[in-house]
Amino acid sequence: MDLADVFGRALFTALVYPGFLFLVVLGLLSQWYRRKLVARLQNRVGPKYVGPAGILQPFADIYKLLFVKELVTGSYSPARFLVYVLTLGIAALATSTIFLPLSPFSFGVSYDVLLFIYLTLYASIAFALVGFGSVSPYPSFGGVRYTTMMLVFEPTVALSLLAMVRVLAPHSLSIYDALGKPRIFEFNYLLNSLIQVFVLVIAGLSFSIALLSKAMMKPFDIPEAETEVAGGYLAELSGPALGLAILLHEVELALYVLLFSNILIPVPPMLPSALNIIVSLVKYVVVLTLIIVVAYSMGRVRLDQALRTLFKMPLPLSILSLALSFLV
Amino acid sequence: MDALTLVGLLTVVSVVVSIVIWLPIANKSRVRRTEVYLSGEPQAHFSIGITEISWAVRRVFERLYSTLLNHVQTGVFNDWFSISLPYLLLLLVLLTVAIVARGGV
Repeated sequence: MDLADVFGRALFTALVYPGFLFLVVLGLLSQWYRRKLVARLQNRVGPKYVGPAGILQPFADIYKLLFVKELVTGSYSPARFLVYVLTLGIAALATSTIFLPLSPFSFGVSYDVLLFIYLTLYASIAFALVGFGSVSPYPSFGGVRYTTMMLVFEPTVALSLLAMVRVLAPHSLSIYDALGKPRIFEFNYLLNSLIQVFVLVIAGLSFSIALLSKAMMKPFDIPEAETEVAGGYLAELSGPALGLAILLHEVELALYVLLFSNILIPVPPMLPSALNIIVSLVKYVVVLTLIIVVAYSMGRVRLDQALRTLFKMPLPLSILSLALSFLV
Repeated sequence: MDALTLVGLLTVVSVVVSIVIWLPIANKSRVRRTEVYLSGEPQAHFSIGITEISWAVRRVFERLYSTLLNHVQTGVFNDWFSISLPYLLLLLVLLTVAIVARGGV
């Protein structure tokens, strides 16, 4: 297989399935589900008018934002190139899906978890750049808050992901193997390696807490706190820039929850067959529901409280889980 | 495929995908509005114009300014005289030294 062939396949995977188009649809459906579920929890109706049960409301919102005129408020609006930075963040997340076994083309290589971390880091950088891209105080505060939390949640996410992948694919450290051919099917795995299951549990715990802060969900929605900093990094965005920022947020959450749910529940493995894809999505919905219910039953904490929480529990747990995964 | 080629391939794919996403919205028109902003104040209020420089200078030399204002320009002649007398005496001493050093007028 020559390089042009590989490039074509990678481009198809990143653009269509399970890349950009798939992630956008999954992310926006998840947004509808989140809005509906949270509305039910708070005795509201939620999205209702666009499509059956309002299921098309997020699509209508994004379409309107992407193709509406952008409002520029003097020097406070971020520069035009930040729109491109946001698309680069979405594209990097879409490209990272080529390591998922959902793809009909196999791109799994040894140590691809490191490439996955490399690509998904672009999304966080895009959020931080959008915050710092305006001279207005509100997005700057949002950017500072996000970057401060990023110093803790990025290492936590990376370390716990490494630990989980090492448990499921110890020889290759490959996301493709961890999801598609998890070691948990090996003979007597559970009996011989209870400690590996323990590692999976504590790494999963630290990953889920860090994921809440990475996705800016409650109680870590400090960078976009509406009542304090008027929406934070989103405050000066309008039109396509705002649409892309929301899209980046939804795509990031969808990708991470899809990965996390299938790592946490490795049976049955993620494979490109129709039945396995449906099972993977069922696992996705279960984990997403848990995350939403836990997140929205809490209030927002202050930045120092969030940092203390992240430093005290998820970061040490992720370091411990990675150390334990090397011991066995 | 070696790691370096793979990283390069992934980066190129990311850039191509981002351009594909960006192109449909690249030429969207923008509406400029600057009249009222930030808690109802106009934007010009928050920028430092040429008139604000005097304020900045006064701020930097605040100690000198307050000394001049409170001890010299009080409107009382004796205050002005008590401040200026040491300088006048200093000038007188310097003049005497210069005359002596030169050996006469």
